[in-house]
Amino acid sequence: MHELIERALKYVDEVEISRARTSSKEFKMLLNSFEVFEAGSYEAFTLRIINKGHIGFSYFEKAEQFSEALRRAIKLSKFSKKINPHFPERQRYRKVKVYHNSLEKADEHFVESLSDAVSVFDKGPVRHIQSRLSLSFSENEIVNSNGLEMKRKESLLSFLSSANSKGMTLYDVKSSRKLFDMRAFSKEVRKRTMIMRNAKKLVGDFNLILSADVIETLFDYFLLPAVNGKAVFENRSPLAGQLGRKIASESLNLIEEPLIDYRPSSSFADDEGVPCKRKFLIKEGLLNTFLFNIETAAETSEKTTGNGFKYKFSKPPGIGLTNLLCESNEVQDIPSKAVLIKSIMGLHNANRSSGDFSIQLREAYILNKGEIGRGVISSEWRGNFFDILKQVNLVEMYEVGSYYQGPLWQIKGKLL
Amino acid sequence: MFDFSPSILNADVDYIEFRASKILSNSISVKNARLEKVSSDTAEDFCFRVMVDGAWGMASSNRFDKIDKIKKEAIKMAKLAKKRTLESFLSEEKTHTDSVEAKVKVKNEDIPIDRKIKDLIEMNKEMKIDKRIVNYSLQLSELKTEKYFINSESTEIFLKQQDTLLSFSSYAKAGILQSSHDVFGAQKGYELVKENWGKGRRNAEKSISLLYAKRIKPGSYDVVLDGKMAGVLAHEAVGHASEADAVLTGESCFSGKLGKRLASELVSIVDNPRLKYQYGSYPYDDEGVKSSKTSIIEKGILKTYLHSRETAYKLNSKSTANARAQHTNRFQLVRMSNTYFDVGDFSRDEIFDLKHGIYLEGSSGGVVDVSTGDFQFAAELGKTIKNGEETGLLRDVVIHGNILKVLQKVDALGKKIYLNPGICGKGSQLVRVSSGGPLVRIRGVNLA
Repeated sequence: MHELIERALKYVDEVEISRARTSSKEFKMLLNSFEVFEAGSYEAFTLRIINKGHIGFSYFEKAEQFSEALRRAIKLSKFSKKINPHFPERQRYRKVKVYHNSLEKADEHFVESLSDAVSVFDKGPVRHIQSRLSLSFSENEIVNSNGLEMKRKESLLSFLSSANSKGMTLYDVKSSRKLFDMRAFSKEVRKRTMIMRNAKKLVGDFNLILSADVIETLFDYFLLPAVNGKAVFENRSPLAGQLGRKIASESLNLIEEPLIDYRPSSSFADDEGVPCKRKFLIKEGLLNTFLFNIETAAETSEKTTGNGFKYKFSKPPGIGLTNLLCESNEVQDIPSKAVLIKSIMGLHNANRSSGDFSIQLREAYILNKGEIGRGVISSEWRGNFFDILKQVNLVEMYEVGSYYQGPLWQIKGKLL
Repeated sequence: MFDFSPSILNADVDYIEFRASKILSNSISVKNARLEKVSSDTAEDFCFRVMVDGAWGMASSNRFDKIDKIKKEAIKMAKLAKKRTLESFLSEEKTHTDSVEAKVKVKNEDIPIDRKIKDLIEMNKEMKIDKRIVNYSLQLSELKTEKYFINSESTEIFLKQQDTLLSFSSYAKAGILQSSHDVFGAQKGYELVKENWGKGRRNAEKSISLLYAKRIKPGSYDVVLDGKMAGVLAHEAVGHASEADAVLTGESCFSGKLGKRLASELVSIVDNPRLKYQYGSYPYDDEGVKSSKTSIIEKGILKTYLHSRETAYKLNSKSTANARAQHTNRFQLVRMSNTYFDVGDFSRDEIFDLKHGIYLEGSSGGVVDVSTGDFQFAAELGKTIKNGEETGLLRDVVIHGNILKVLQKVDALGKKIYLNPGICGKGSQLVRVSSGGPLVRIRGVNLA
């Protein structure tokens, strides 16, 4: 890669090359039978150049295609705005564990684990629909002409389990950097399906408690795009002009924490090689920061916040987040009667600009004195995300989701 | 053009297929009447799917220098799967040797990039209709796809197509912020740009309208759906429930309902991959089966499910050529193509002849739980109908209900079909589709 950097520097001011190598396996069971087993192995590169203040990007799949990729990046840079960005210099990174050799076991081991996990559905009224075990290993490397060298080796295990009873299908997914008990996860799905098989629609005003999964879904849809520094700069964000202002309940502290071992979203650096740092997004209800990558920071005269993550390797970095922690000293008791919402559907219909939504409960439970009771399904929940933020109470129920970790959120809400 | 020897399929297996694709994608973004970004990239990959003793294995890569190794990996996967596989086969279908290039009027590559940028900036300028528009953008996306398929049954297909997509977005501010997003796409070339000149202004007008629109009082209403909303109902509620993989597992609320009445007799719903220029069209599916029009619901009766060769074999049917994969590296799933309500014979005036109702226009998407049949779709804009006339504006109107009940309440369909491009997600795979229909009137449905 260093040789390629030297070649490119004859034509441009700064260069960055990223390489990704991935190998993946997926084992599936449908009903009681193995479905297709899949394997994949890929290698690819991206090239970014800065020339006279303009940035250019190209994707290529073989080292031999570098010259063509360079020509393309130079050509495309001429069509980009002059924003005078710079690639980072050599960085010192803190450590976080994102690879575990427990996932290096033979294929047969995972096939057995899959069979074992599915066997929990062998008896009883809950029918297995599908389970999917996915393994992936990746090695990412970033080198730039300013001396940065970053290598990241990651492992990931994801397990999906879905089951059906009385015409109600429930599914859930769990991911981790290391091996976990998939049988226990399947048992949990079976237990929840048993409750949900008799679920009914609920109508009226309730204390609603949002699970980690629902908090993540709402955060991804409304808050992450709204704190994207570029959207703010371009007046596309409903939070433009709100920095330092109260946008949430005073008990709410939302913190990005990149360095939690073995969490799927943990990372010591973003996809531009910039170290990821712990930071408050919301501090005691006040909006604390917007998020930037190198390009959007240069465009808006800000500094990168280490949030330049790629949605897809073949594309330039956008804005992403690692883990989201919620910390507070003001955590309240669980209300004696409430509805715990585990999963929602239809959020992609909601209005990001206003925060208005009308979504359907896919999986929810009545909570009586903190104990899970009857299932709730098909109720319509209408509200506004930015209003929810202002009225959130944190309650004594903690969950670790795929990237949210902390107490669950309680709000007053209307179910239709 | 791909050039592989048929010996690529040599292997001691029951069935083997090889797929390869090359995708060139270009895009140009303009924002606030200035060039924002130009991007271009090419991706190539391939896969083998093999069957050994009724068990499937698949392996994919972009390393064309390792084709043999990847083939061995696919066989290894199938052998691993055969330990606990109920034998799976493929329905018998006609074999084909064919090469098809979809024709366009103006090839995207024939237009110089400077000209495209100039055109887009001109189109974008039209969106700044007044100072309430605080951000306005337009993106042209071009996709050129080459696909190769060969299997051990002597089917060999080469496909080449061009897709073009224009996406308009505008943000309006007057105290509150509202936005509008419109996408126009087809298997067309640069002619799509000319055909949609002026649509940006309409997009910006919609954003401004939304600033003054109110939310609806939740309740039961008589509604008229425009073509886009009707398409979401056809695709999300009927199409997904009729996909045979969901039927096979017993997940779909359409399971066991073939030949039964699911809708009013005015309703016919079709999946048709053979429509010219449409975003979800294809001449052969990703199992090499020649595509054809499928009537899912005919005069209210469920006539067939949508099939791949595998689901067709298991349900003793024939493939409807609905096996599609997002990329070469993914397994084919049962997917829709262009799905729509067929026409009725009501005029617009007859359909709008309501004392009090709601007209739902444009779609912000939809979702259905195929097991329960519960669905939820959002309209971009709603309009109150009073005595047949459109009056007040409504925003963020969501229609929700259960498909098995709502389709029975359709009492009028218009005469002209409108199809809308979209991206459909299932099993972590996205495919290009279109959906639509004429104006559809439904009595007494829940809006929130």
